[in-house]
Amino acid sequence: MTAKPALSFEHVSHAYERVRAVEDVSFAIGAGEVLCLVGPSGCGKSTLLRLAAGLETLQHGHLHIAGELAACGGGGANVPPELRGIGMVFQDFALFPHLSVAANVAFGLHALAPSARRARALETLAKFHVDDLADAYPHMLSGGQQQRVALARALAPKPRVMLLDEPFSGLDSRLKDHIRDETLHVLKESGAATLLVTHDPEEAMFMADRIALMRDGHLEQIGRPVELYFHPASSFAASFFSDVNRLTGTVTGGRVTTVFGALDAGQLPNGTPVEILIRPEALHLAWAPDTKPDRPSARVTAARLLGRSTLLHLNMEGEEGRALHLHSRVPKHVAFAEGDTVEVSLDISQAFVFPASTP
Amino acid sequence: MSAAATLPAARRLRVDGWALLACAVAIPVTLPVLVVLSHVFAPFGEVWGHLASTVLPRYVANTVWLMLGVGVGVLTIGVSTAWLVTMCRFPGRRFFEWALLLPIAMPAYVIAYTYTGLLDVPGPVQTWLRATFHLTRQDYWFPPIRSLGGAIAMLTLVLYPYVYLLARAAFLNQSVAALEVSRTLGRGAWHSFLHVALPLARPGIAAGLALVLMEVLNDFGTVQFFAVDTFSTGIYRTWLALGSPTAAAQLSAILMLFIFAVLALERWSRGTARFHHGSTRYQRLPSYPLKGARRTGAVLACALPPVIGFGIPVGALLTWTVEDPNNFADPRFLRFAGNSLVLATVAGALVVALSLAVAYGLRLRPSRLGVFAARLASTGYAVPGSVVAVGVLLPFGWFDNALDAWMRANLGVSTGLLLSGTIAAVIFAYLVRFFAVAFNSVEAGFAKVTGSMEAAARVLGRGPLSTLARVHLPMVWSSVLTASMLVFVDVMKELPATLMIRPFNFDTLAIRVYELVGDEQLRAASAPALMIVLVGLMPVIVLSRGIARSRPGHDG
Repeated sequence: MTAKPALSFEHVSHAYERVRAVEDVSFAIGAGEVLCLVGPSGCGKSTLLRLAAGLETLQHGHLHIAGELAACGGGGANVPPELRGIGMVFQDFALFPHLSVAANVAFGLHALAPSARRARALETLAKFHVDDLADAYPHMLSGGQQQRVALARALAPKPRVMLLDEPFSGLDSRLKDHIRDETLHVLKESGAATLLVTHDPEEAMFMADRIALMRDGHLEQIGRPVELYFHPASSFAASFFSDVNRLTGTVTGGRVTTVFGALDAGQLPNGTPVEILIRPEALHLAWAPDTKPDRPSARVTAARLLGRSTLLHLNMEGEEGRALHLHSRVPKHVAFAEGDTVEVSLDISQAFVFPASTP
Repeated sequence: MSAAATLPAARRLRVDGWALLACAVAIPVTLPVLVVLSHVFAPFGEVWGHLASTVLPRYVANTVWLMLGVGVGVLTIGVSTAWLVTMCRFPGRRFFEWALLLPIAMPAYVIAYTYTGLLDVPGPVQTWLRATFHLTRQDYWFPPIRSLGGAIAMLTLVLYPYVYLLARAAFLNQSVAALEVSRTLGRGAWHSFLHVALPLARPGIAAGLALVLMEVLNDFGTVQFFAVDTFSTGIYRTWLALGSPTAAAQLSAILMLFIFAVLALERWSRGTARFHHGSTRYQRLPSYPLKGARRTGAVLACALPPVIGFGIPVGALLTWTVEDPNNFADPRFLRFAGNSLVLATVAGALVVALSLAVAYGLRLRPSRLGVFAARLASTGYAVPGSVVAVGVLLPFGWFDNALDAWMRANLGVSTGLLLSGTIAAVIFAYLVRFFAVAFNSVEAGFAKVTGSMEAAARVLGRGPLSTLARVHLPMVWSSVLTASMLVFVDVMKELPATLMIRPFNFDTLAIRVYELVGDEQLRAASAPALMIVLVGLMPVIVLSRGIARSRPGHDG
């Protein structure tokens, strides 16, 4: 890559009081790229966002914006937020209650001639179809409208980097889908590098070109959504993006035996206790009125239609006669009913073997 | 290095400047209290021995009796009227809601001298008694107004609104459910009040009582005029008449013990319990319609305090002022009014500007030291004016003497008294005493500006000063105005600190009232006194407007 990344973190660490919030994190975002920072609450994703904005002083590592040093740990350079040329959208939107919508959006346009400010504000509002609200005040707006105004306010100065802190969490789910879609298009069109923080894996997959998964302050895995979903680096990464079935086993000769046959255990040494994580959609079911001893079969204990797919609860006999409770997700509606016996087969591309996590 | 790397150094310094400013304001403001307290460890001299053996027991006894008497008085009036206007329905309730606040506009020394004028031997009441029943002075007994009992009555009349205000707020904030549960469990209205509402309101009532007791300890004019010797008057006399700054400071230190006791009492009564009502639903409070004798009783109970504490004295002041138009024609009156106005305006602007700076500095850099310094500086409001005066005069005197000695020794010139007895010293004393008033108000206003609004302004390219000017100030403007007004009014009424520190021949309205009254020229004092009362009405108007919208979803 010849162009310098729009935003890059290099070996960034940060602590509050004595608590480590971020531990040696490095990654970069290119211009026009949307990167979603996901992870459970308290994993340090919001801290990274505040560090990028300059709202926290960087303690260790380096931060570059558009190739220029924006912050350097250990008391080095630290460009204040107002000089970083970034746009930020806050979880609570943080609209200024004493200013009209147009004045809110024009707040960051002091570099423009006064006459040009309102025009730019209206132009940006129009991208979100809320230019008719220009003279309203924030308290008169609905949640969705406030969110659009907050986005317009951050985008109006045409920042090189956009930082979004859980921007959709305050909205109800129907509205959320619509605004996400709209936001994605406007962000892509603006060409700004976007760092979006969310705790919602579905939202991350919807919005992201790449996803950075955080856990306890460190970067667990970073890559395209497809990579994270189909090639998770850890059991945490595998279980973050969907619910999973968990089996246990022990490595013997580079393989681990399951009810669905032996699975490749990679480089894990003999005798390693392992966890086998299987996504519900990796369990394929077939109608099997008669159980065959050599084919794994299960009894359906419940079948629930979830709209686009059906979730089936299965009971089957596992290794050494232990009872297993598994979930299978199949597309559309299926005719299996409670009490039916089904034959179960495994798509091994969606079964992942990891060393058992020590409790 | 790039421009990005060179800019920040300057910026960091500026942010540190804010924190520094917070400390630079807070530390001098706490200095007087520290100076006074340090005298506990100073050797107790001859004057002290004299004081201890003669007047000190009387100071302690009078102060304790005043606190007890006024405490019982304000609790009785304040809590009962607050309960009546919030929980009962009777004619004029809406009117009494704000009318009960009126006496707060009346400085205690003004009401004291007004009632002296009315009730003393030559006053209209006794004159009328004598004329009607053909009596001479020896024929009857009349309660002496200039007494400990009189002082208790006067202070109670003007201070009960503090308890009324906070008790009323506490009753309003109670969950309706708690009271309704009590009723459904078969308890009557009276029992519900005693066992549910009153305990729930205790922290608010205690806070009001603490404010009242601090005002009692602060009072100088009333007790001086009534010749009831307390610490406040003792400090003044020890300073001026006995000329012993050390003994005055030691008296002040003991007075501070009373203040600490009041603060501890308030803390203790709050206890560890958190009185948050679980429900956020605001409903119309249950109201008990009153009938017959009860209704008459309620109206009387709510009408008498404002009538006696405000109506009658203001009427008397008005009459006296109008009877003698020379009061206003006096050119000195205009000069004193001008002095008061200038002092109060300058002090109001300065105190509010500094509290804005400290509050904003703390937001930018919430350091523990800064927070501690601000809290310490806010204790000034608990410190009586006479103590503040001693605490200001002592260090200023040391500074002047040291500078003078140094200049004479090294340069052969005498600088004399640079700070002592200047207007600057008076204004500094106001800063010490009233910093908390402005700071609390400004800080409460700042709570409206969320952290993310502040961050949003910064990210949108505004520096700290520009953010203050464009986000904070417009949003907290009403708090800033309220804060300035409160300081303005407090300065207009302030007596002991001004009296002790002011430059020679520099008089304010309050001082003028004090001096005229001291010369028994009660009627001549009516015009400046009336003016102080009128100014004091400003916060009442703001408070009563606050009352009108204090309860969401409640139109009553």
